[in-house]
Amino acid sequence: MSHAWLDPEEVGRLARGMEEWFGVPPEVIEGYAWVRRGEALCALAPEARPWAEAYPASAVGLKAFKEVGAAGPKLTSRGAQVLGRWATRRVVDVGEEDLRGLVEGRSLPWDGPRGPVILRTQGVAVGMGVLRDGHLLGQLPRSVTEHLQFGQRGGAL
Amino acid sequence: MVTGEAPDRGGRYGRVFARYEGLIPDFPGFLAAVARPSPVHLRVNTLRAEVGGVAAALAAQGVVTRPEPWCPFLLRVEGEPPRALGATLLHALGLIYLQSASSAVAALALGARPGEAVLDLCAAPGSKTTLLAQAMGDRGAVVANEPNPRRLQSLTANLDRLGLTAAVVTGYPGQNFPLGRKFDRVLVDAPCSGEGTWRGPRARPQPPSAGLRRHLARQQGALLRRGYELLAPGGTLVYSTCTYAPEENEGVVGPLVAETGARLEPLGVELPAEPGLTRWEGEEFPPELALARRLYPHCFDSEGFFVARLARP
Repeated sequence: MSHAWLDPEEVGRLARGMEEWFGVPPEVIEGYAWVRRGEALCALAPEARPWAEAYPASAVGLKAFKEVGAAGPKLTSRGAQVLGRWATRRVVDVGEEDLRGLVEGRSLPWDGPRGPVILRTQGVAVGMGVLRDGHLLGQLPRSVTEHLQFGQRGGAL
Repeated sequence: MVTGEAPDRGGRYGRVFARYEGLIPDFPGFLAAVARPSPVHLRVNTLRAEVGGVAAALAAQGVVTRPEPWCPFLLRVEGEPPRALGATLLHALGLIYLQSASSAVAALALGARPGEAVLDLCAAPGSKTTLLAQAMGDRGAVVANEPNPRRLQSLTANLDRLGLTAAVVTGYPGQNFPLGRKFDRVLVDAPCSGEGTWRGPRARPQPPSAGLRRHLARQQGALLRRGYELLAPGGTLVYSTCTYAPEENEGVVGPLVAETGARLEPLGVELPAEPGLTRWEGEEFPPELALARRLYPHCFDSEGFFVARLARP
């Protein structure tokens, strides 16, 4: 797969977007090398960049954003799990029952401005959700949810 | 030390492992140990979670764990887990990785540090790769190589699940990995006959033919040689397998040591293990091979493993 490195201006836009939307400090985003692979924007430890350039790699770093249409980069659930720990805005804390509902595809009545949110449970960022028309919907990828079984007792984690 | 039970030399495992009766100390104890399933271990992804928090979350679900004294973020599950740990949110979110203790030893023995360039030549499914990245604080480069496309999928899925950013995945046949760039550390966890994984009543041992063993040894030798060629001077290489077969272990490392001057080193992980062999069925190996370690289930309750740590002068 072809890949292209993001230039500092593009990284700056990404960092500003994450700061404005989720309150993630810009230096978090700027601390990675960023590479575009197909629709994905991947975060790579900067020390690994020469190695990614040296070989025809089948995967590099973490697929943190997805570019879809003209809407700009969209944070993935995996990206949210890693970058979400620095988020201070648009973070929704959900309990076990709520999380179970979201995983099962149900929407929950939820107040708040519409748009994407980072879902967090027991202090851990678990992925992306979206607020729409007074409802919260989960956007956890099938790779996260398909084998998931909640226990009969204890916390969701 | 695991306490022994009545050995069964004539039983299934007695027949499978008969060739090692003179090689493995306390052979009856060994047979008793392999008849039991291997304990479940899980590694806490300390890049994203704290050991205490994970242990508490598991305890709330009835899963009792205790950290291994030689690796505090590796938790041994006490008894039978009440639910499949691979189906928990902890697992799906990449906060834990199910990994045998022996496999963790092989990766830890490499001693990878933040900022280094590390090659895992036979990386799938990624248990050791992800531990290397964890040990490096996800800073540096971990080149994870896997030629088999199906196994490559499981490797990338696990790297993704654990949220690692230092990994670069390649798909070369390991023995043909391009020369040119040198690595600080190289892990060669070679494909093998897998005898060390044969434990418990549900295992289905398939002893290899003499021809397959020769083929494996040739392949392992080629992988080890290429891994050593890719190692920077002063660098460290770990060669490991999950088999007891000397032909696939000392018989592979010995010739490289004799031909290149590679220096064997202690593993740096204190464990109840036996030294590597210096002779087997009339064949002599370099005496330094005693610094390698053979992990036997009756001494170290996990999968059987062989681990050798080599330095390039």
